Parts: sequence; structure tokens; C-alpha cells
Amino acid sequence: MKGLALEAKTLILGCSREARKIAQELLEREGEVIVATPGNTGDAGLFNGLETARAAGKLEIFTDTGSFACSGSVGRFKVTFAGSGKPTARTVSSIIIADAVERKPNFSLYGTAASNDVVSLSRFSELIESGLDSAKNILEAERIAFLTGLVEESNPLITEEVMRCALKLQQEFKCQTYLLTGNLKVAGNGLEALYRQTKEAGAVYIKFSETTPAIQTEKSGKITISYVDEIIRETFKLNPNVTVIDETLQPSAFSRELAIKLEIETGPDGFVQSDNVHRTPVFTNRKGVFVAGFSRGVQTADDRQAEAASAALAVVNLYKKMPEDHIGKAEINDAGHCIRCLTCARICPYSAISLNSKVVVDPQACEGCGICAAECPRFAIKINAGEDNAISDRIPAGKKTADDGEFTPSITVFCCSRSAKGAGDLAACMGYSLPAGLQMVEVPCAGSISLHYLYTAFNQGADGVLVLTCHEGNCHSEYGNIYAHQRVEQVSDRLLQFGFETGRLAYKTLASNMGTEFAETVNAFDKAIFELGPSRLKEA
Amino acid sequence: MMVNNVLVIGGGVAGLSAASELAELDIDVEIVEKSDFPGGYAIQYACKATDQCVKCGACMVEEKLERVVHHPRIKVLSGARVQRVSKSDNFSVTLLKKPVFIDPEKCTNCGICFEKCPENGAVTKGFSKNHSPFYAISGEKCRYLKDQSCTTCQAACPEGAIDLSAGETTESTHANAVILATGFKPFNPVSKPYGYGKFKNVITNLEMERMLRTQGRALKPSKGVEAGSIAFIQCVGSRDAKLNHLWCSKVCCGSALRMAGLVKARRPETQITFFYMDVQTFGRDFSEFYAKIRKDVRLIRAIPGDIYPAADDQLRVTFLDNTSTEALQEEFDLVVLSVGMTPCQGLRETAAVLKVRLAETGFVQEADEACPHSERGVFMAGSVTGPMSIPESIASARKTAFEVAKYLGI
Repeated sequence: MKGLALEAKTLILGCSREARKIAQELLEREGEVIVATPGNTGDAGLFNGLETARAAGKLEIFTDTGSFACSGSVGRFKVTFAGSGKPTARTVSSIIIADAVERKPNFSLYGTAASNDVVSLSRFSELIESGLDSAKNILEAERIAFLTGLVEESNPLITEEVMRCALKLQQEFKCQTYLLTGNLKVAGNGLEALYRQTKEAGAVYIKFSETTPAIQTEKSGKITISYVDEIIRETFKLNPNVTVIDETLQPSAFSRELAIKLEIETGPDGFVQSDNVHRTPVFTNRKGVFVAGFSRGVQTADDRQAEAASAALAVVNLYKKMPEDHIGKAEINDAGHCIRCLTCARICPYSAISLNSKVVVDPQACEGCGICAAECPRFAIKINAGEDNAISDRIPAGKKTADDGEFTPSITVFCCSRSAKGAGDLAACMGYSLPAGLQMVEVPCAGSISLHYLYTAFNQGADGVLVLTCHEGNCHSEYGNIYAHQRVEQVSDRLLQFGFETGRLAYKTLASNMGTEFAETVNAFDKAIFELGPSRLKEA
Repeated sequence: MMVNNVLVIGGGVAGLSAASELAELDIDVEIVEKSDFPGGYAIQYACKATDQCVKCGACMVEEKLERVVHHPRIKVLSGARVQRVSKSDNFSVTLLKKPVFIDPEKCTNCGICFEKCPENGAVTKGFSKNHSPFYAISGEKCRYLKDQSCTTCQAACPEGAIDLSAGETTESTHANAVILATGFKPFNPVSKPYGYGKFKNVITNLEMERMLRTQGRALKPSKGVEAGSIAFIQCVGSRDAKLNHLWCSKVCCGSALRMAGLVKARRPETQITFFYMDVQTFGRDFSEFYAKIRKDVRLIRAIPGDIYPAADDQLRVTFLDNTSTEALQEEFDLVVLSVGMTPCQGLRETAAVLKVRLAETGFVQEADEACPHSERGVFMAGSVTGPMSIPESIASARKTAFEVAKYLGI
């Protein structure tokens, strides 16, 4: 790669087709790649065919990584592997997490246990693909039942496997298949057509929405399924010769370990990416750390391959960009202010702050959200916002009440740049009339709105202060909006103690495309403030 | 020295994403968008968050559009279509550009043209703050363009920004690679027995999205009052053997249930019923969302038959419920048809011109190792290859951008 800002050295963690594809793409672009897999030597076969790169010193493969540690940030991650043999350290510019998936058979979920006649889906797929010498029971079976998505929702990946097995059984093995499911997940390419094909081949689908089948294991080890057919409302008993149990797809243990070690926010499903639209497709809360494939979530093979390309693209982009300058980044005043409490280091959503001899912000990793500056108990941090652009400089003074007594509320609105600012612009475009006394203070992230700024706004004569943030779960800094909400509540509590009207301070969540809601919110607030009258803090 | 230049046909979320990625790699991009307002359908979608983000992805389209509109390497041609494409060393493309009725340099988005226009739908409104001008004149409805009988907007415009006599222009351009990102066409439910087009209060999910985005509420189009009861009918034009539409449009379950959640949050007394075949998973917190929405919305696993007008400006929906063997009937104020994604208009012709293959479904066949389109410099991105959600379209576009970069040797 030519003309790069960062050294083109990437660490790919995981053993999957996506990991291999990413490695291949980056090697083709003459980058250097280190692949580290947790697994046994069997998995290393995945990276066969890349011998030339290996020989040229462009590719290093570590298997059996053992314990893994990482420090530093984008451009200079220092990673250590301590597997069998002595610990090895490397420095890389970026990291990609792309491991395989873990399949957990749902035997206990359906009240069953593994046996010769009760088989997990992947085991079953293996058996009917590889040959049935070891599976006479399947070969001779007259009835085979598939249980999928009955207790927890399934997904198109599992559904596709189930349908392919059923199709093969109906077409080649002349047995009757029964597919018992809740919602049939066909939201994948070709799945509806496959569904129709299996039906035409004779597969019987039994769907459940209000009831669930009762699954019993007889003494003989065979399964009896008693259920109510929801269409004709009659009870049935099914005795399959073989029962196939679906699997839950989970993030691998390696993925989960990496999330902790690398301080990556995970989603509600445990996959290594927060459930935040800003992160799609392959981004994480840390610059220079990307995630793709099954480490990120449950998706089809096509989507995973697309993600591999996306991860490679993200790396290429990263290496091409000039190093970030200091404008818009946090800076810590070490001369007498910072007391090394490390609040900033712990609260930074991007893991951009660390302690060496001083507490230091890495400008490459800093995204300028301002949360650290707002939380620092010693006011030791400021965001280098350029001339006259500091938030404190932009908090407006409230307008005095007109001589004729006419009161136009001075409303100071703190607007998150990613949501409320856009919504405000859209409201203006859509032709909504906004309150005459409205003054917007745009902030990089609502998390940068400190208690101090809220008090300042009132001290400078605002009749009302409104804080507009992104919706919960939508904040680019993950929790900036939550902190802003908490601070508003803190100040409201104080205002109550001071005997100051708490109705003068409020917050609301918005998105950048909510022009109507922006107009409604500010106009309603304006009306409420008008009822309250001018603030007692204003100069008479 | 070869100047790298890519033509993106289609300015929806996929086209915008692909352009944005290519521009970041210092490649010049031109986006040709047939509508006046780039962003495709997704830019028209509402944010469906209550106090929590529901991960619908609508705000991401805004971000992509914002980035594209401000990027010095990207040129967006709205109201333009590709007329001719030929390839020698690179692609020679002729574009047909709609007349520039409203001068973007002079327009201040005051909206007076929209207010004064006597013909409903002749002046159209944009959706995003990045639609500039925010208004456009529709070739189909404008009276002046039919018979020169009206120049109200031109006269009323305080900036003199409107010139109704402007003509179509053609433009020639060159590109080293072409990305087809023309998206999908929503299924037209007129052929279904739901009275779409006849009954004002039968609308599509896209119309519901637009309404929620501009009004924030579910209103009955007939009277402009809030709907007390709403029926969502899923799989209209998808999973339909009679129409030979053997695909699931993937996103409609998610979008309908999220819209239902939004309406319920804003007006809790609204009665919402969801008619479905199978609920498709959406979002990573699906189990949580699904458990919650089932308390607020009545789910009926049946697709309705006919819809008739009923008293009190209501609609009578007939369906077969599992609890009885007889057909049931119920009245609703508003019916929302979740129409599926179908191959976009004129795709057969476009495919022939660009020499790409169509799959059995009529969508464009994805390139694979057996037939890599990239050999000839033509690539695909987004739902032109099949139904896709917003995040999937973005991922698809990024993959395409990466492949284009490879093809151009970047």
C-alpha cells in the first residue's frame, strides 16, 4: 500500500472463512497480516494457500494463542500472545475480530437429551451429507421431526439448514419429514422458494403461535410429541423415529474473551459489537478495532462475506487517512489540575485515555465527545475547539424583558450535533415556525453538557433550558445521552432545593430526521416557559 | 494518468454509501438519481424511536446523504436518467436531465410556490434538510407543462428562482466503472382486494412512514383525524405464489411492528392489529422487543381476504381466525398494507444495456466466481439484487466499493 499514514500491519483474531478472506485481501494489497486463532492445529488449515505471503514474511500465523493481552490504541496496539512457548509481543495498527460461531444444541430447551434418536442439527447435517453407515436409524426412519424456533425465535441460517435437510430426506430417502416451528424465518435469499420446494416434496410444516407442543421422552428413548394443530383445532400425537433439535448460535468463547480484553461494548446477545446503528457494519466503540462475521452477529454466508470486504475496506481507509490533528480533541491540563483520579480514563467510551506517567489522551483515538471534560471533577480537561468555539463561549445571555412588558422567553437549547441540530435544520426546512427567543448551542455530544454549562445558562439569564439528545441506544458515544439526562436530573433536584422552578429545565430525545417533533417540542416548551414568566435570575 | 471516475446509477442508501466510500479513497463519483430528492425510499422513513432507539436505521440514511452532499469529490445529479451506455476503454454515458425549474442558487426554501400552486401534487416537497431546494416541480402534474395554462409559482416566487420554460438537457460523461444501485419498486397493491386506490384509509407502509415522518401521528387520510384502530396487513405482494413472488421482503415485519410501537407510545388508546404469516426477526434485541410489542398489539396469524367500506368512515376487514372455522369481520379506521419489494422499473432493459443477468425473481443476479460482472466494470449494490434492510444495503455498498477500488487498482 502506498502513501499511507499508518503502517499497514493488521492483526486478525479468529478462525473463520471471513478471517481468511480479510487476510487474503489485505495481503493482496501488500499489507502485513498477523492471524491469531485460539484453536487447535486442525483449524489452521483454513489459512492454507497463503504460503507465499508467509514465506515473504508478510503473514504470521499464531495458533493456540493462549492468554491474550493488548494495550495502546489505534496505530500502535501492543499485543501479546502467551500460548504454548514463550510470550510473543507484536505492534499492529489495527485489529479485526472475526471468529467462528458457537453452536449450542437446544436439547434442554425442548426437554430432551441427546441420544441415538435425538440428534442436533449440525450432527444430523453431517450424517446425511457424509453417508449413513453410522446412522442406520436415519436411513431406516419413516418419520423424522425437526424442532426449531419453538421456545426461542430461530433465524434464517438455521431455517435454511433445516429445510435443506428436509428436502434431501423427502427427495432421496423417502421418509416423511415434519417441521415444527413457531415463526418460520424466511427472510433470507432464496428461502421462500426453498420453503415451497420442500412443501412440494412432501414436507409437513406444523406452525405454533398460541400453543407449544409437549415433548416427552419415552422409556425406550423415543420421542412422543403431543400438540394441538392450530388450524383444525385437533390434538395429535407424533412419534418420529428420529428427532432433530435446532441450535442457538452464540458468540465463541474467544470472541467473548476478546471483547473484555479489548474493552469492546457488546450487544444484548453477547456478540462483539454494541447494538448501536452507528457501529454498522464492522465498527466498534474503539477506533482501529473492527469486527466481522460471526463475532458480530448471526448472519448468512453472503452477508458475512460482504462484511469481510467491509472490514478490509475499513482497514484500507484507516491506513490512508492522515493522522488526526488536535482540533476537536480532549486535552488534559496537567499543571496543577489533574489529580490522576482516572475518572476520564474509565469513562471514555473510546478507550482513548491512559495513564503512563501522566494521564494522556491519544488524539488518534479521541473522538472529541467531551464526556471526559464534563465529568472531570477538577475541570482539568478541555476540548480543543479552536478559537472562540468552546461551548462555554457560546452559551447565550437571556434577553431582557421588553420595556413595554412583553415577554419573549429566552430559551437556550443544547443540541447534540448528531441529532437535534439536524432535526432543528429540518424543522426550519419544513417551514415550521420556531419560538422567537430560541437560541441553539450545538455540542459535539450531549455527554459534553456539564452541570456547569447548565447552571451557566440560567445564570446568564435563560428563562428556560432545554437539552436535546439522541435516543437511548443511538448515542455515538454509547452513553453520552444517558449522562446528559442524569445531569439534567441532578440540576433539577438542586433547583428544587433552591426554590427555582424545575419546569425551566427539561430534556428530550430526538433523531436528526425528526423535524416535526423538534418543532413540537420547542414550541411546547416555549409555551410552558411563557406561563412561568421571566426568570428571577435575569437582570431587572 | 488515469483519473478514476465512477458512475453510480441510483442515489438511494446503497448508491450514497458506495459513493461515500469511493470518495474517501480519492475516487471521483457522479451519482445519477432519477427523482428530485436523493435518498431513495429510506430517506422518507420516520424515526420510530419512542424514548429508546429501535434500530430501524432511518437516521443512518440522513448521515449518508449529509456526507455525500458535502463531499467535494461527489457530484449528485438529481432528476437525471441514464439514456445510453457504451463501453470501449471505459464507459461513455449519455444522461437525460430534467429541466431545472427551480434554481438552487436562488431558492431560499420559503415554500411559497408550494402554498400557491393550484394543482395538488404539482409542487413536491423534499424530506431531508439536505434536499436543497426543498421543493420541486413535478413534470406529470404541472399545468404549465401540460398546456402552459398556469404560471402562478413563477410569478409568486420572491427570488425569481423559477423558470417554467427551462428545457431538458442531455449531458455526456465518462466513467471507469459503473455501479447499478437502482433499488426496488414497492409492490402496487391495486390488484389485491383491499381497496387500495378506492378507499382513502387504505394506505401502504411507505405512505405510513411518510405520514409518521411529517406528522408524527397516524391520521386517517379521509378526515385528517387520528386513527382509533389500525390494521397492519403483512406480506402484500411477497411470499405470494399466485404472483410468482417467491421471496420474503425481509424488512416489513420489523418496520410495521416498530411503527405500531411508535403509534402506541404516542397514543396508547389506539387499537392495533397485526395480520401476518410468520414474524421475521429484526434487530439484535428482537426477543425483548417482540415480548413487549405482543402486549401492545394484537397478532393474528392470518392474511385477510376482502375489505369493504363500513359505516362511520371505517373499513370492514374479513379474515379467518384460528379460533373459529367461520370467516370473521372487524372494523378498522385505518388499514396499512405492508407492500413488498419488487424488482425496479425497467430493470430488464437496464440489465440488457449493462449486460447483467437477472435472477428468476427478476432482481439482478449477484456476481459470483462463475460470472464476475466486475470483469467488465459493472457492479451492483443494494436492493437491486433483492430485498434488503438499510444496514444490509450499506454493507452491500461497502463491499461493492471495495471491489470497485480493486478493479481500478486503488
